[in-house]
Amino acid sequence: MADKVILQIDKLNKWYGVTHANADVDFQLKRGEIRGLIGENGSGKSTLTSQICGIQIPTSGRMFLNGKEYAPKSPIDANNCKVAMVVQELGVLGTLPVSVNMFMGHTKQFTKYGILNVRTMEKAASDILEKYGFENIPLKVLTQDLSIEQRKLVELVKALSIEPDILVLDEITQALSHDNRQKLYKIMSDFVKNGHSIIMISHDLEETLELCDSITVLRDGSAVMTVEKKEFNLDELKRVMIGREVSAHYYREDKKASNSGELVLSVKELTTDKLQSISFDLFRGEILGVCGLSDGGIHDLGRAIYGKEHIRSGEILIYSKDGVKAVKRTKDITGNHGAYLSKDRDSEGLMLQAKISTNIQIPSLSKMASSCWFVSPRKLKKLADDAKKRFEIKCVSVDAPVNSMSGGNKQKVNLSRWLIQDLDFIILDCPTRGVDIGVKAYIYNLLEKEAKERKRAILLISDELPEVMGMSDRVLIMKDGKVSGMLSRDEGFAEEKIVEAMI
Amino acid sequence: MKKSKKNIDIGAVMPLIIFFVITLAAVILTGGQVFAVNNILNIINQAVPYLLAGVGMIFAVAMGGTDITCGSIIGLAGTAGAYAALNIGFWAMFPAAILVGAAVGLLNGIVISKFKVPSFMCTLAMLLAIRAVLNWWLQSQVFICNEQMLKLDNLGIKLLIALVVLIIFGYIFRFTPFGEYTRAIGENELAMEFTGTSVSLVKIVAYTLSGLLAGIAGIFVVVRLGGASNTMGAGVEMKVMLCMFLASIPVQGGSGTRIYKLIIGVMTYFMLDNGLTLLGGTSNVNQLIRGVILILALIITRVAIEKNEMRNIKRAAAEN
Repeated sequence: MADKVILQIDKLNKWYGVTHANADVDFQLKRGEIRGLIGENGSGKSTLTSQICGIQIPTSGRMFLNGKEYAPKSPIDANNCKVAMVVQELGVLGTLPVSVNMFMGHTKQFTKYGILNVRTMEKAASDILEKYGFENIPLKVLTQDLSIEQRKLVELVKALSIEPDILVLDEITQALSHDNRQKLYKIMSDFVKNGHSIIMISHDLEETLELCDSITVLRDGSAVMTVEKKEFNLDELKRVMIGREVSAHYYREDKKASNSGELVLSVKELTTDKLQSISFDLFRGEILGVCGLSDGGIHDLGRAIYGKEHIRSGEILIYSKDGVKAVKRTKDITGNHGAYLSKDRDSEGLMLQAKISTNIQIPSLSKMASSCWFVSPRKLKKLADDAKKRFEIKCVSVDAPVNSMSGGNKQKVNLSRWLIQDLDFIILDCPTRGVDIGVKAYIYNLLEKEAKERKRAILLISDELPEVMGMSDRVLIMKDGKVSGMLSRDEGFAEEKIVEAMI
Repeated sequence: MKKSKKNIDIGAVMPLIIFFVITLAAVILTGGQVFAVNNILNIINQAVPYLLAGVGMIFAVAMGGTDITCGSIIGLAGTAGAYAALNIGFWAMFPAAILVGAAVGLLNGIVISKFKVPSFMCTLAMLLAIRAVLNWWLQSQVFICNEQMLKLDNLGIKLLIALVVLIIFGYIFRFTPFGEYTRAIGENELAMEFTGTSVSLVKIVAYTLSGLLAGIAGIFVVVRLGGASNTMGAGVEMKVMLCMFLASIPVQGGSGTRIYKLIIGVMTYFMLDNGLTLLGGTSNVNQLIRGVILILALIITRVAIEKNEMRNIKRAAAEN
């Protein structure tokens, strides 16, 4: 048995200032194994993997690779020991071409007399991309011009290119489309067949259960449990992760579609560069799910309605108590009881360095100004404090920067600043992306309340099928920028039916 | 309790410390001369135009931009003011100078927001262009201030106007949505666009206000000089920027941008300048010493902020 263990970690501790990010973690990874790491945000998953990969240095504890002491000082060090990682944040340099990124830190093999032979390097890069089935990624363009998904794939291939014994994947699948996920799964299973091992972190529990041979649960920095595939039990894992019973109520429980019959938003023959004559109506009190592949136009639809895409033809009408308004630009939405949440929370949503309170206040400022454009600091403070309380935002004070919070709480701030307004409808693009399971459940609960109790309309765009099926009254399915189907909750959403319409 | 102690904003404290150190040094070295009433008044007198131009620039700086046109606007607006006062009537001086300043600012704002020209490039080009217009204008004409105009070169009036302007614009910057928007744009312009606020409009208004304030500063500069000159206001823009750096107003803008910091920065600069002048010495030597001290002050501030940031980052990482 002992020779099967490739990585052994004994009593690993990592302190950040006063916080114990990893506490006495013991960990064993076998050859040919896919190990899932699960835990809530801030439970120490990324801390653990970044120590394995030399990004962070442990405060104490020892690691053994193939029975030999292993203490990487840098990611290159780790690479040399055949350990590679795809990090959660983007780990490529945007201003360099793909091929250079691919061999970053390993360009010596193409260098002669101090001169880099770009042509051989590009050839090698294209060979590798082809080998893993991603030949459609262009090599010569700057990495920043690729989509997030493509950049992630470049990172993946880059990690694979050193032919590692251990591959660490930190939250890679959420950036990938359905097709590329399938490719990734194939790559992973081929990879472990050769006796290599994978450690993967994912917020998608179903996926983790499906892919992994064993799962380690982290909570508050400690590894609290490791289970083998045959003992997997979703509810048990959830309970261990959170350390308490998860409420059975995760998605909606009712099986009936409902709305108040009052029209709020009407999209007619909307056509943009990516969309082709999309039409639908959104009613007060309903959740209309939009699903499809990532490049099928679902995100573009949200952006187009919000006035962020050039509209070629068609119209968008808002029906509010102030009458009917045609939407021409973003202001027409926010000025008429509408809101939009981008899927890219950190760049298109929040001001990360600014205070939590500022982030909550900004969208409401103009509506709060009294005569002489005066906005009372006291009222503003109250607005932020109320939002904090109402949406159970976990922070020391609303004066702390948003960046000091976990992803889930950031998303609560992002949601709260719109939901405190007098809204008729809100467009949500992947509202639970990168959010831990506790907050996820909270958001689902919140959405149901907003729609059913407060009678608001929600357009829920998501690439997570279970989420859309679990929450929506109706589901609009998109494919190649067109509507390819519309289903109602009354009929019961059949996954096969939806997937069929998507692909 | 411990936590709040750690959370001191070093960026706000360091400039104050530097101000006190420089003041103290000036007091000791000049044997208290800097604190003579006349001298204090002199310092304030010199500082007023810089303060006005700085308050204008702060709207641009808060957005993560900059506006270095103010040096030339001071020249052109001052000259326009003098022209109006001499040809139309004394009171025409104010609208003339203010309108000229605001017009140039408006132009800046339109170029920067509508054509997406980076603010530094745009205002630098405008700085040169406006100076050229001024040169061309003053080639053929001479404007000497009349007595009524010279009466404006009075510390009481200056202080009053400066105070009123500071209060009004301090209010706009601090308590109105517009002021909050400028800082928010500095934090994350894209996110600001996604809230449905017209970022272009905010930018245009901000640069217009900046030009307008430089216009007011122009009035004071021209009456102090006693007539229009084509070098009027030259270099003001860089000194104002220096004051901002001294006050550790963040270059990238955002919520750390505060008007009180600017006031500290301006006072520090003029205290240093004045102290060196009182000590005698040739102006070349003084300029060198001034430069060295300023660089040291900036280094110290930077190091202190960096250390503090590292601590904050570590703590934030720990909290995650």
